[in-house]
Order: sequence, then structure tokens, then C-alpha cells
Amino acid sequence: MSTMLPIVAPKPDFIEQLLRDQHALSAVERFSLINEGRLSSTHSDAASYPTETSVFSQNTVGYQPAQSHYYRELLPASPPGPGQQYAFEVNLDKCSGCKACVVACHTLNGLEEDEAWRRVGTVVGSADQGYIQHVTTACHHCEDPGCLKGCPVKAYEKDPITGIVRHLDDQCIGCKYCTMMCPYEVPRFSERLGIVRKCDMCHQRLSTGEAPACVQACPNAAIAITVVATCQEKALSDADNVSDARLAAGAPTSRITRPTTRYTTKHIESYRAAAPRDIGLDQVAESHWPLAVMLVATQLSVGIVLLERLTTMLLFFRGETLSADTSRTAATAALLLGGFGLGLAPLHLGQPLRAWRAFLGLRTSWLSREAVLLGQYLGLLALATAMLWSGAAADYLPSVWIDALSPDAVAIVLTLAAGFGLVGLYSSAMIYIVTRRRLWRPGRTLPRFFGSAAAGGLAWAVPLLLITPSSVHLASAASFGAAILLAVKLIWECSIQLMTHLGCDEFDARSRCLSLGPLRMLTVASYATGSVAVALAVFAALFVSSMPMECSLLLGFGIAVLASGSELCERLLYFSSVTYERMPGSLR
Amino acid sequence: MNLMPQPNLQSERQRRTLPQLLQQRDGAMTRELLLHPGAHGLGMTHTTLAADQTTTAVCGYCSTGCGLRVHLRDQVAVGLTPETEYPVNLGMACPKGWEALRVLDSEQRATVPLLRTSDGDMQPVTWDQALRTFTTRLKNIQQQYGNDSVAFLSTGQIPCEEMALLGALTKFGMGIIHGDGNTRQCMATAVTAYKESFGFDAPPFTYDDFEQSDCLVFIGSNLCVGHPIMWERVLRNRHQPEIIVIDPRHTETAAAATQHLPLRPKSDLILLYGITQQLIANDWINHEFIAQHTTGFNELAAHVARFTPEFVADHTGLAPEAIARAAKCIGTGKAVSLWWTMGVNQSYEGTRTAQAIINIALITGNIGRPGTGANSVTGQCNAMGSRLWSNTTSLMGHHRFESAEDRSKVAEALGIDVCHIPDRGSWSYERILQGVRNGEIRALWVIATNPAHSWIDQSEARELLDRLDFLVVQDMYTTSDTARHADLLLPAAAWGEKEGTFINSERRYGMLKKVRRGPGAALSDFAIFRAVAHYWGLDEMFAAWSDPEAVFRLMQRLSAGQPCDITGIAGYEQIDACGGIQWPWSKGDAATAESPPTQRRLFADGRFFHPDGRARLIVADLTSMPESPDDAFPFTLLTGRGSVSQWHTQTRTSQSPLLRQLYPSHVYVELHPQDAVQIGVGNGDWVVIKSRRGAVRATASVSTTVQRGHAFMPMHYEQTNQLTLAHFDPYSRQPSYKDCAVSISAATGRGQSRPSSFRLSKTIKGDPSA
Repeated sequence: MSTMLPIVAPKPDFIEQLLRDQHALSAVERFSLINEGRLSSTHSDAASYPTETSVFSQNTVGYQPAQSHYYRELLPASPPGPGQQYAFEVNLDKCSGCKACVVACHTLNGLEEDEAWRRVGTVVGSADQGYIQHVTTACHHCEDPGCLKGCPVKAYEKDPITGIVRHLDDQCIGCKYCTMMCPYEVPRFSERLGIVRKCDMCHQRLSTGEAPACVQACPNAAIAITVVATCQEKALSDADNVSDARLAAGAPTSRITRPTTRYTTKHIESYRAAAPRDIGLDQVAESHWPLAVMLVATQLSVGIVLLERLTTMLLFFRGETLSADTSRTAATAALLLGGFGLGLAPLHLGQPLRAWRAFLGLRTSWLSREAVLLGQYLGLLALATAMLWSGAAADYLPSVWIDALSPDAVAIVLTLAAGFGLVGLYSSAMIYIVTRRRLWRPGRTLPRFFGSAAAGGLAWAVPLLLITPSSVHLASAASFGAAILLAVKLIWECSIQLMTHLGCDEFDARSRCLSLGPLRMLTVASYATGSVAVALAVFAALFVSSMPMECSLLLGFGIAVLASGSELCERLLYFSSVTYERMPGSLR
Repeated sequence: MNLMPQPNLQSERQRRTLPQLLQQRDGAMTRELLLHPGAHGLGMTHTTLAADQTTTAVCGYCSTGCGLRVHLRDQVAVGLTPETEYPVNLGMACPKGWEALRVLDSEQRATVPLLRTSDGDMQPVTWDQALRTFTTRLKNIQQQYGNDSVAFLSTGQIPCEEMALLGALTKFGMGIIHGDGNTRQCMATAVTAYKESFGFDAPPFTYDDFEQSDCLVFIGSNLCVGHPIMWERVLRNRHQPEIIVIDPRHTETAAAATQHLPLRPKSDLILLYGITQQLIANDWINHEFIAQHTTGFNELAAHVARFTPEFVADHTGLAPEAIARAAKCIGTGKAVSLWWTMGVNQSYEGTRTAQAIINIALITGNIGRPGTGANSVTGQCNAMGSRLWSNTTSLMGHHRFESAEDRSKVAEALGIDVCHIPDRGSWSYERILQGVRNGEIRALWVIATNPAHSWIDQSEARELLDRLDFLVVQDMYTTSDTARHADLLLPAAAWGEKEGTFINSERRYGMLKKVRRGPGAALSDFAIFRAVAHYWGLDEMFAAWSDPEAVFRLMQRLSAGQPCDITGIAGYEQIDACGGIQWPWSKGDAATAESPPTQRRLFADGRFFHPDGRARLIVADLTSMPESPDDAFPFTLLTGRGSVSQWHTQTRTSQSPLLRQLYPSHVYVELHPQDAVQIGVGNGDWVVIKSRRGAVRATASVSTTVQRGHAFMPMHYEQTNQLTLAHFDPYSRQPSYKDCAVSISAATGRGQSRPSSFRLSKTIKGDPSA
């Protein structure tokens, strides 16, 4: 190669000079000075190039951003009066789907690298009619915001005058409950901050008379801010029409939160008949594993306590008593399980140190109620457990305390705990029921949550009873009960998940695509552990009384652990395979 | 205007608030999103965008040429917003423009020259080593196989000054004969059509025409997606215009049209002749204009006579009434403009189709007046610059290599010996690749383009790149599909890191500015070309080419007396101050006005650039689609732009995390619902698409945006061109990307994302929660 080396003698510093030039930004000065002059001399007059465009320079009063002449007509003339609020209005016929609104929202609000508070989905003609429409969507600043109702710490507020639903970033504990309560998937969780953030209609801009970022940036002036009447002001008959409204094909009914955004189009029939471009394309939802563990553990715990109470009561009527050892073992196990569950729950929070405010939402939020009730439950259970153990440690404790420990006192505390546990468990279920997601309706949530308590409680009762030799016959009964309940629950789950039956709707079908597709390992694990637990429980019911203690205990704990595992898988699927109505999206 | 209530109305708000201890209304996270009143005409501004100065630069993606207001802190760009008053975009930009700075901050930027070692790895080397290797290898190859055994492939993405320097360096300095640009893939057809019809490559329009027409016709153009900011101008039209869209697909633009003619693929020439026939038959033509300013009308009339609405309907699949209605709108409109893009250009009979459009404008007298014209909407930010200054097909400044007179004019203007100027033009892109196949081309220098992704019948292109003795790739990223084939990678500074001018679709020179430093040892393409000149031993020849503005002055000199005369432009500062300047702006023009009017169109006087001043009406016989669908490959594969947020081969746009969220990450194919049922796939299922060239997997996007028997795949994914058929317009040599036959079947096995599909036909009815 080098034989033909051409004669070149490059100057040694030639490249260095080029690199120095490349790294010098002096070239920009002469231009920016021009621009600065042009812009600064025309603050209120808007910058203008020498000709023609000056038709836009009509601002006269006060400081107006240069961009203001494009959006002046997209803002209302005055702030909302009583019974009114601000709302987005989208003229679909003007939207070409360019998504400048999304990027402007991201840029002008200084959001994270991949964060934007506006999204654009697409609907397409589903029959023979050629039709395509992009649908830009942000927070709908609902009249009855789900996010606000669900928030346990009052990190949302709806401005009484403008109606803007604002999120208080420094108040948020990152529980993500609003991401379930909002039917429009508006609040988005930020891993970096450990909180959610959402559109605030650029209220900082509106307060200076400036349009929100998306309104400013739409090349086609498709997004406007309008003043709308809130529903309370409308005649009741009007509300009937509203009741079946949806913002777009596939979107949830507007009855849930009464969104204020208005979409207008001349092609309303096509718009209604269209199908979302992402129809049938569901992503695996977040598994919320700390929540799943917390739910299953607290339900098992409550189940054990309830069983202990029930058994005690039944035996009482038969003139018998449950051995104190058994009660103590049960209470201790329930406390450990419940404590483990509630102890794990903060892992679900992005900002656990702020969680102490969780009582603030008691008036509207089931999450607040759950937190308070289950907290009470655990406190009472701890007290009861302490009382139960006091007998064993009587020698080391003050006599005043020992004297106060009548069996009645223990029974009252334990019964109170059971009561709080039961109501707490109901609150847990309501958290998900009130999201109005079809697959989380009462008929699907209550049997699961209470079923876990009953079947799981019975399964745990087996080993707990076996620890006290005198209760072996009860263990046998518990085992039998556990087998039946676990089997019924499994068959019920199976009929929903796997089989096409009459009660199966579109959401079940979509959910099945997930549970048999990307989540199939979890589904298999759920059924496998459950089935083995049932088989072992049947075996135990028949033979546990004739087995050596070590074997029966091993068997008992095996049943309990497998049943718990099955319930946990079921709960993970409950979260991750959920499908629901949503605003139109696009292919991923 | 204050849109928030007055303080006295806020008592209720205060009454409801809890103490700060319980409800943290302020804090670090709240302050993170605080906005401040911005200076420089900006509104409320986030800290990330706060500027101590702003400057305007023209966007570096498409040919719209939007002005972007770059926010500077200590002279460095920290952010950007669309320039409010720039006469092109009027304060707006598309997502690509908004994110133009973000793609510069990428881990994948090329920061040092990389040289392939004998064991195949790319090894960092110094610029000195890189340039010595460059000159040694290329000179050796030239010595062994002749000067024309080295070729270059350039781009429409670099400024005019860089194109001119590259063209001069290679052709006048290095003795290279063959070089072409990726503009061959987008604009060659329009160039050829204009040259033949008008006598010069002269798109006659200005964007104001979008607003002035009462009838706009879009042929093979999805303006909403391809040029969203031009669409902004269409929607600003206050004349309630008739919008006629001629496109086989039901695109966003078609959806917004008043008339959509969903013709069969590649039947546009028949339709245009049919419209012409109707115009003539109904006497909706301008006899005076035809007589004074055109030649060839009789031949045209005779040629189109047989294209009756019924005949055309048979061949296009349209209703005769729809054709007649469109013709009537065009014939009776007061200001009719006709716009075309890649649907016409990327076609095996594109030149004649473009000329059929030009014919319609000419015979109806719809040219030279506001709101009229036969208007080619260009693709890349500087495709128009490439047409004038790349020194490939035509001698720079739109001269002819074959003309001795032109050669001496250019030699004189540049102060070089005329013997350095070759007397023949370059091979086209496709011929250069054929040269590689034949062994005529042994080394290739690829600048800012990505043939390993974008070239038609891509697998062959990749094979040819590997066959080269030496492949130099000059790019801003190390990861482009073509960079992976390189023997030597030269790291280039990008848009925003250098200076120069772009020419947009409406012939407007706009300024590109240096507002970032460029990563590592990356150099602007201009500096790289200068360095090559230096190492090649051409310092003397290029002494005058010291910086971009010096080259601009040379360009001005070269443009003297041409239709694209820019001798009247005072310099970069004037371009900047005027919001861009359209060509022509000659010394004579400059003497009559202080500054150029913002919106100027050509041919107001009806004088065209042929020596006789008349435009030519050109017609041709129809040719048939070389690979029509058949039993084995029953679908016609259409290709095109998929979304506004993707640019070409995604080399740049994929570097923005935000843009990546705005389009599908994986290639998809649009299918008609009935075809999907027949194939047995649902929305989102994997399908296998096969052509005679290759097979790819894609997700099915089931929708009525395509007709039955058609499939559409976006060009942005590398899979698409594994299927396309290499065939070309015979006059422009532009590839015909939008017609080849494919088969589609449900994919089985690995990659099957879902166990059962959810059919599109199953729409959501009623309220399930009721």
C-alpha cells in the first residue's frame, strides 16, 4: 500500500486549527446580536421580519409574549364564573396528528426526558369506510376527579374557581392509586422523583394570560381553552344525555369522573364508529407486587383471627374451649403475617417518608380507610397477642398487668381486632372496586379478597392446630375445609381465566390474552400451587390424625405455604392481567 | 389579559387549604416545574429554556425549512422553540424540529475517526492517521483503476456550502467523475420534469400559495405527515378551498380533503391525462396562455383524447363522476395549485406524471399568480441546495458539464484552470452501485446518508458496500446501518454545530448556525472537506474556500445570470435578518428594493427558461407496473412516511427518547380488515411479508387506511427495503419505491406475541359496566 504513497506534507497544526475553530462559538455572535436587537426592541410589538408578517404585530397593551397573536383567539375572554370552569376543547377536524402538542408540553414545561402530559392516539375506520383521526388527550380536569377522590394524602386539589385539577408534587407519597382511579391514565409515575405528575393546564401560563404549551404549539390551532358549565348547573334531563357519552371509541364512560374536555368534529358518526388503532393490544399492567403481598398476607392474617374467633365461639356453644395454646399460636401467626404484609407495603410507595399523612383522605379515599383500619387491626392484634403471651411470661411481668388479663379482656380485644380486620379487608376490596374497572367489579374482587381470607385462613389453621396436639381433630376439619374452599376458588378462577363461558366479556377475553400469553408462567404457577395444596389438604384431612407429629406438621405447613403461594399468584394476576377501557392509543 | 381570578375572589381557595405541615403545597419538587417570565419575547419559561440570547436557525430535517429560535446561554444552545415570525412556519414546528437539539447529545455520536483493523474491529485513530489513510488508499485505487474508480454518495442534509466544496473538491481536485446524492431517491424526478418543461429546475411557488388557492390538488402527497408545517399553511387558507387528494391510501391528508380519489397504485398518470382530457373537452383551458407561453398543445390534446372518464375509471378504479368532478373543480377554479411529493417522484413513470401535473397548470393558466402553480414539495432540508450546488448531475450553479461555455464560466468564477472540470456529468446513484457490481467503482465515500437502509432492494446494496475495496463513511453517529460497513468512519459535526445555508422547497435560502461545539474530535463536514483538500495537496486550488461564507460568495458569483441568481444578497446577515431570502435575488433586483419581499413566486410574466421563453407540454405513453400482484404475491406493497416524528432511516430521530415514544418501535404493515380476516390475523399480530427479494416480520396494523389488496409499510424501518423492487424512472433514474408485489401470511413460532387475536371487526358496543 505504501509503495504508491502520494507526496503530501500536511502542516502539523492544520487539524488542531480546524478543531479549535470547531470548538469556537464566536460565529454566532453576529447573528444573535441582530436577533436580540430585533426582539428586545419589540417586546410588546412582537418581533417581525421586514415585510408582510407585520400584519401579526397588532399587540398594543402591556407585555405580550411574541407568540401571543397566534393563540389569542384560542383563550376565553374572561375567567370562569360560578358554575363554570376551564376546559380543553379539541377541534378534531384541524388535528393532523403531528404531535407537536406532546413535544411542546414536554419542552416548555421542562419535563423529564421521556415525559409529556399530553398524548396522541388514533382511531381508524373499522368497517369499509376509510377513516383516520388522531385524538390528542391530556388531563380532562374532570368535574368529579377520580385522582382526587382516591388520593389518601390530599395531594390533589380542584381549584374552586378555574376547575383545574392540580397535583401537589411535594405532598404526593407515590402510592400510584391515582393511576388506577383516573380512567384516562393521566397521572404518570416518575421513578426518579417517586411521585406522579400530571397536566395542570399550564396554570402558571394561564395566570399571566398566556396559553398552555399545547395550545401555543398546535400548528393548526386545534386545541383551545374554553369556559364550560359544570354539570351541577345543567338541567337533569341534560345529564341523561351525558350519561352514555364517551370521549372516544374505547374510552370509559364519562359518567365516572365527568371529564370536561370537548372533542368536536363534523364527522361525528365516523368518529363514534371508529376503532382505536391499538384495539386488542393490551400491555401487561404493573404487578404492584408489594401490594399483592400485602393484600394476601393481611387477608391470611385476618382469616386466621376470624377462624380462631369462630372456632372459639362454636366450641363455647358446645361447652368446650379452644386451648389457650392454640389461640396464642394463631394470634402470633396472624400478627407475624399481618405485620409482614403491612411492613412490606411501603415498598410500594415512591415517597414512604411522607406516608404518615395517609389519614388525610379518610373522607373520600378507600386507601386512607384501609391504611387506618388495617393499622388498627394490627395494633389490637398485637395487644391481644401480648396479652396471650403474658400468661406464659407471668413470672417476669408486673402483677398489675397480669391481674388485668382476664380471659374476657383478651377475648374482647381479639374480637375487636377481628372486626377491624374484616372491615379493613372490605376497604382493601373497595380500593379496587371504586376504580370502576370492569374486571375489578365487586363480583370479581370481593370473592377473591374474602376467599383468600377464608381458604388461606383454613390452610394456615392446619399447621397452627397441629402444633397443639390436642387440636388434631380440628386440624383435620380445617384441612377438609381448606381443600373445599381452595378447590372452589380455583375452579372459579379457572372458569374465568381459561374457559369461554357465557359470562365472559370483552375484557375477560383481553385479559386472557395476557394471562395465557406473557403472563402464562404466573397462571401456571397459580394453578399448580393451588392444585397441589388441594391434594395435600385432602390427604391431610384423611390421614393427619394417624401421622407422626413431625410429618403432619410438615404437611400442614406445606399446605399453608402452597395455598398462600397460589393466592399470591392469583393476586399478581389480578393486577398485571387487568384490562380496561382507555383512550385510543397507537401501535407500540 | 389575566385569565386567573382576582385576589379578592381567591378567599374560597384559601379557606380550603390545609396548613403546610399537613399539605405540602411547596417544596423542591414543586419548584422543579416553576416557570418564570422569559425575556426576548418568550412567554413563561422553564429554567431549562432560560436564555440570555436567542438566535434563529433553519431546521435540518425536511424541506419546509422552519425557523427555530435557539435559546442560548453563554453562546451555547440550551433549548429551542419555533421562531414566532419566521415567514415559513409562523411560530410552529413539528416534533422533529422541537427535538432537534436533543439528538445531538447522544452516546452514539462519532467523536473520533475509526479505522477498521485487519481483524475487522473499528479502532480509534487520529485525524492525521485517518486522513493519511484516506488519501493513500484513494490515490492508490485511482492509480490502479483510474480516477473514476472512486465515487461518492452525498446527501440533501448538509448545507449548500459544504455540498459545493465537496463537489469541487472531488470533481475539480481529486479527479473523481461519479458522485450522486440521496436526493436521487427523493427529488430527481421533479428536477428532470421541471428542466424539460420549464427549461430550468425551478419550483415556482411560495408557501403563501397554500393560503391563496381556492383549489388545492395533492398528488401522492401526505402533507399532514410529510410536511405538517406546510399543512399548517393550508389550514390558514381563508377561501374555503376545494382540497383534492389523489392517493391510493386514506391518509390524514385524504381524510381532511373535500375530494379524495383513492386510485389504484401507479395509475396517477392515467388519471391526470383523464383530467386533462376533461379540461380540454369542456374548454376549461386558457387559450391565450397556451398560445403565448407554451408549445406542444396539439400533441397534448391528441394524446389525451382517448382518456375519457370511462376509460380512466376502468384503469384507476375510480367512479367516472368523481374524475369529472375533480376536473371541473380544477378547470373552474380561480387559483388552482397542484402539489406533488414522493407518490409521484418515486415512480417508474414519475417524470411524465410530474409533467402531466405541470401540463394541467400550464393549460389552465394556473401559474405565476398567487395560489397557483405546479409545485413539487421537496423532501430534505437541502434537497434544493443539492440540485443547485452538489456538482453531481449538473455543474455547480445549475450549469452543464457538457457545455464548454459553462465550464469556462465556472472555471473563471472559481479561479481554476478549466481543464480540471470534467466534460461529462456523473453516473446516477443506481449506476454507481452497478459500477460497484461490475468492479468499475472500487472505493466509495458516503457522506451523511444511509444507503444500507434506504436503498431500494437493500440486501443487494449491503452486499455491494461490502464488495468495495475501501468504504469511507462520514456521519454524525457510529451506529448508522451504513457506518457498520465502513472501513473508515469520519466523525462529523451536525446541524447546530456548524454554519451554512439550506434552500427550502420555496427556494428560500435560510441560515444554519453554530450553536453547539460538537462532540470530541468531530469536525463539520466543511472542515473535513478542507482537511481532505489539504492532505490531498489541493491547498492552492481551495485557498478561496476558507469558510462557509466565503464559499457562499463563490456561489453567488457562479449564480450570476442564471435563473437562480443570488448576486443581490448582501451576505449571511441579510439572509438572517430577512427570515430567509428566496432565489432569484440578483444585483438588479437588489437595486430596486431595500430588502427582498418575503413571498415571491416565479413566472408572473409567463416567460419560462427555455430559449424561446415557452414552457413545453410533454406527454408519453403509459408503461405498466413491472411487478404487478399475482397469485403467489397477491398484495401491492406501498411505502412512505409513517409518522411526523420519524425522519428517513431514523438515524437521528431514534436518538430522542421522547420522539421514540411517539411512533411504533417495531416495523408494522397496514392491512385492510377484510384482508386481515382472510390471512387470519388480528390487529397487532405478527405477520410475515415476502417479496421476491426477501421476507420480513412485522406487526399487522389492521385499518381501512389502505384498500383491499394493498399493504403499506413505513420507510423508516430497515425491513421495508428488503422487500422493494429495484426499478427506476427512465429519465430521472429515481427509484420506484412504492410498487412491488408481496405475499402476507400469519407468522408462526417465535415472536408470536399473543395467543389469540382480537379482531378489529369486533368493535366495542354499549357500555359493559352498565
